[in-house]
Amino acid sequence: MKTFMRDATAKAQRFFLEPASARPLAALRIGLALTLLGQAYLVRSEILELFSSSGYVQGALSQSFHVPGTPTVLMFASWLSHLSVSEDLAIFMLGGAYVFSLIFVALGMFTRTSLVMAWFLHWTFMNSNDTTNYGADLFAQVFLFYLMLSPAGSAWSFDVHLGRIDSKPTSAARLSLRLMQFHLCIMYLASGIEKASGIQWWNGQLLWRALNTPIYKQYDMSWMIDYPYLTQLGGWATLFFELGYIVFIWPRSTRRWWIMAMVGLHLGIAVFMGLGVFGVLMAMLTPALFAVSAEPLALAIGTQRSSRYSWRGDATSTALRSEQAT
Amino acid sequence: MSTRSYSALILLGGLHLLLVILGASYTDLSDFGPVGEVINYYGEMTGSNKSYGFFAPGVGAQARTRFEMIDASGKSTQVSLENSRSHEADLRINNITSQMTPDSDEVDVEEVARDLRRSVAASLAGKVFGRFRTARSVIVHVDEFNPVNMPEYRLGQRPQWEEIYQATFVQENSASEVPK
Repeated sequence: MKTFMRDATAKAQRFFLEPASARPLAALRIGLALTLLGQAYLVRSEILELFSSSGYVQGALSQSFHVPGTPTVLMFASWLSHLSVSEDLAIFMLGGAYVFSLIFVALGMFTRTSLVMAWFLHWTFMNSNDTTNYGADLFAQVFLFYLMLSPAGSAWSFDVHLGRIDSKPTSAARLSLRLMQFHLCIMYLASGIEKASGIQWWNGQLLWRALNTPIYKQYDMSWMIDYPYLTQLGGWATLFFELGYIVFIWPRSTRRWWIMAMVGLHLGIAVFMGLGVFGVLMAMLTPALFAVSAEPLALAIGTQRSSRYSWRGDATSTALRSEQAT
Repeated sequence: MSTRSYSALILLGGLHLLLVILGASYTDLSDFGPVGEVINYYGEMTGSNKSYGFFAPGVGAQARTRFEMIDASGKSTQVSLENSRSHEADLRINNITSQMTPDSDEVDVEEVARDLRRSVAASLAGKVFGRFRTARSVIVHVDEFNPVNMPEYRLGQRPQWEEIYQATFVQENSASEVPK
């Protein structure tokens, strides 16, 4: 029993704390920043309409959707008005700061500070007009928060290039990666369970209805009426891959199928439903967190294939340990 | 960092993931007094209190808003706030409009929904007044689109936009509304 406990503790410690490269975190950092820059570009002309007190959701109404105590654009605008800064200018200044922080995040310059700023401003914009938020905003907020606390600048960054940050593998990188991986697993499981509770995902009506609803309709998909099994298969496949994600994303033998399925599913949403930002953001999450190797480069060579059923990285560390033993 | 510090971090991470699970299962912790409020605020900050029911359990109705602007001469013009400069922007505007469609799953919220609908309509009408200075009154029409299922489609039924709400706003701040 004692041996079992010792082994279990050692395995858990290795799983959560074995020093890892920050490359997956860097991939997520860059992908997320570029996606959010794209989003900012797409809504640039609507920024005043979305966030000013004379925008679509005006005055007191916007306050009714606001969670008390959370920062908003209008709160900052009110502070800046003491410096004779107009509300519109204040919104542009905050928007500009957000864009610059994202550029710095993507480049990995002053990464931690930039991530804190990007997360805070993103949250502020989300609080400022809650009625317009959707899934892409939520996932950006979730992963900016994780990245902000992780050593995301320790790979593929100017900070490393300029010697400001060390790129050596750390336990913090491994722990951050595990937390984000588990979050993604919980998210897909919850999403799958909720989908499975509705008949539309089982009988094929969901894809049919979604693809023919004006706001999502990108192409004429009425031909699908002649191929009902296609929409049904699409619904079942989505349920299968979302519900199975928490189990099958981990073993090496099935991981690649789940990565491909998730990328395909979300790019499909982007192309066929016009949810470009959401689709690209979601398509990027799984490959960044599960396909980009977290193993230190010097150790990874030639050891990745030594065990078919190991957790990614365990093969590497086993090989390293046997090398050390000999 | 010592192993003990990392163990503490693992514990904190575990607690965070527990909140993620509770959020995903729609558990509202704000009823648990001050602790609940702190947890709720933390959830707002981190997104850990959110659920993930995208397109679940199914695809429901979609709403759209149409505006009829009437100028001093009584001439009526149809205007839109969605400018189609980007689908991303239009999606957000559509999300505002969707606040005006009542959620049939909720009970006893009719009055709240009516007030909210009127407030959102007034806010959007105010935007139209701001954009079109010649407008003397603005009629806000809210339409709902209910997709039809495949069997009904095969029988010849086609989805239609159906008006569910109408409100007229005039510049003197007086308004009349006609819920359908």
